Amino acid sequence: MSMTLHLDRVSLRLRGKALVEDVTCAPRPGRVTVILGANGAGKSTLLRLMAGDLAPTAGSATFAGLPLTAWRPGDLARRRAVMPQQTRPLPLRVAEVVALGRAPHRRQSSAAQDARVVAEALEQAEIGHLADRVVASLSGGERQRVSLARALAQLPPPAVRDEAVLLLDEPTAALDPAHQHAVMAVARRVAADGVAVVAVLHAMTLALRYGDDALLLRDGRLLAGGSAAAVLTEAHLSATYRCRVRLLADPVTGGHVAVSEPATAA
Amino acid sequence: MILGDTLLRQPTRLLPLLAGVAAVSAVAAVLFGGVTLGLADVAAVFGDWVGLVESDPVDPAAQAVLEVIRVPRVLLACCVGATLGVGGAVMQALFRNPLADPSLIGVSAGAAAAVAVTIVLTEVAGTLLPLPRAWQMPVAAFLGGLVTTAAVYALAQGNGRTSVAGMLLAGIALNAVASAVVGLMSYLSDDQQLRQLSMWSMGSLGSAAPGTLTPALTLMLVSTLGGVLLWRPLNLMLLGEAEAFHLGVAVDRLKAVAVVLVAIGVGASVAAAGPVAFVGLVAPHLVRLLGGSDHRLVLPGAALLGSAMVCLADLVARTVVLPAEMPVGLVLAGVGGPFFVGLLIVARRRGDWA
Repeated sequence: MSMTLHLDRVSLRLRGKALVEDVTCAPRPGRVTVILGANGAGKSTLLRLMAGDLAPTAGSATFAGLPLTAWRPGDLARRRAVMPQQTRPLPLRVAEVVALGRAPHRRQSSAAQDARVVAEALEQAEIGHLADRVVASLSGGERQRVSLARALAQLPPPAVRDEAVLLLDEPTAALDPAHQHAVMAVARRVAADGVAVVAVLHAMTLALRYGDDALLLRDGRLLAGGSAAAVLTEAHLSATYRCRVRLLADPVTGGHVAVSEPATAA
Repeated sequence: MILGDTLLRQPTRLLPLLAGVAAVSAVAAVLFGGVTLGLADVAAVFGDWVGLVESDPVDPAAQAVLEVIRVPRVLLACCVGATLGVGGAVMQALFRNPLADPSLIGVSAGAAAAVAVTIVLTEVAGTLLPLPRAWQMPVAAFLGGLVTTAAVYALAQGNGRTSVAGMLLAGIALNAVASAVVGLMSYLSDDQQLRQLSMWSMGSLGSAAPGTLTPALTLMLVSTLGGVLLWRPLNLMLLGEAEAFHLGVAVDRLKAVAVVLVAIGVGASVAAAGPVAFVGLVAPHLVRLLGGSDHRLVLPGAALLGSAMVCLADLVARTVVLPAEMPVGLVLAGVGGPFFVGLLIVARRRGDWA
């Protein structure tokens, strides 16, 4: 197994408070790893540690064997793309913003290749019809899909995708159901190319449907991690969210949907 | 941002247009003034300089006016305008705030305090900066700007990241300290120094003379060209600091390089012409209104427009109250201030990013 991102006993403490504590994980190439947890459990912080935004105060975070802090930002950017929760309401056109995703590849790529990748990314994120709109004029959900398209445009060429990581920070937060599925379907396709995809999710049902592997966080600690089938159980999810979660069989998909109960009703 | 929507699609057309405006402004500033020169005279003198044209004997009066007064002054005006325009655009990109300006984070005030010290405490300045007088003021101004900016940085750092809000607040505090230094210097000064200090602090290009210009012009050129070359990472900074890092920008290094470049340019400009306000704010803003936010366009555009603004403002400053002249800073503040307020009102009505 080619090693991409590896977090070994990683902690992040700020002013004595542990935001992430003793987390070990290694998102696998070709799979979608979902991160679940209650508000403030450290999901986004964990993702920022994986992105190299934050340096761990204990433990090691490495990418391809090299500590993330030792990577030159430009080299890292050719192998690790991040989709933030939202694109700021910029006075730039959508196509221009998505084209910014090509910046790390400008020495390896041609203008024609960039144009093709940008067009493809716009298509995948279903914002081709918005290409000429100014980002500031878009809705929150549309801007979220701009973020996705930019991150897709940043991915390396297919030949080396199994060395790449795509990090998605709550990629479905502002989206309607149809677009939630569309975004997760894109995540699956990217994983099928060999990319290690990591997504912070709020919706348990999406995690059940699209996750290959799962990490459950509670109070900054890893409650459970491993294949989604083993990790996403009623007991684990109930403990993660501190409220009763039931999994109901969905006769149409053969999978499960999650239902949560009010904390007092248990 | 749709005001320039028709131009937005043709940024390639906007730059030549602005270059034309800058060139016409510079030529007008060379021709007009206390003495109006004819194009023929000017052409003859330039021809003589270049040595290409062995034309009719050059009018010695016109030659003197051009060589000693006009050309140095217009050169200085162009450089000050270009430097402040680019400096403003760079700061605005760094802070992702269209109202950011070198004067906001203390570069200008720090530079001004250092210049006030070199004007009043000449002996101290001579000991600390054993340089030719022409280099002393710009270098002191650069150092003053850099020290203030470094202090703002130190105050705004936390958790290994720079907080924009902290930086702006620290800038406000340091602006106050720097103006206290300027106040102290005017209190300590003698009559002649006080006059020099107060004329300088209103902003004037009158000090331009051949020979004394080289240091300031050199520093301003370095700053302007360096700033324009940062267009690519500054475009990525528009997305936010974290996003710029994700796309491969070494954010902390970019901020350091940009701040030093701006401090060099603004320091030199403050030393040569005093604090000239509003160019750093208005020039980049107008270019964005006309052509969008791509820094490949905004940076050179702000340089050209800033240079045109200062040339024209100086032309007004030295012609409206002949035979006296007004400080150029007053003209720019008087015209630029209300103009900018108008822009803000329009932008707010449209709900634009302003």
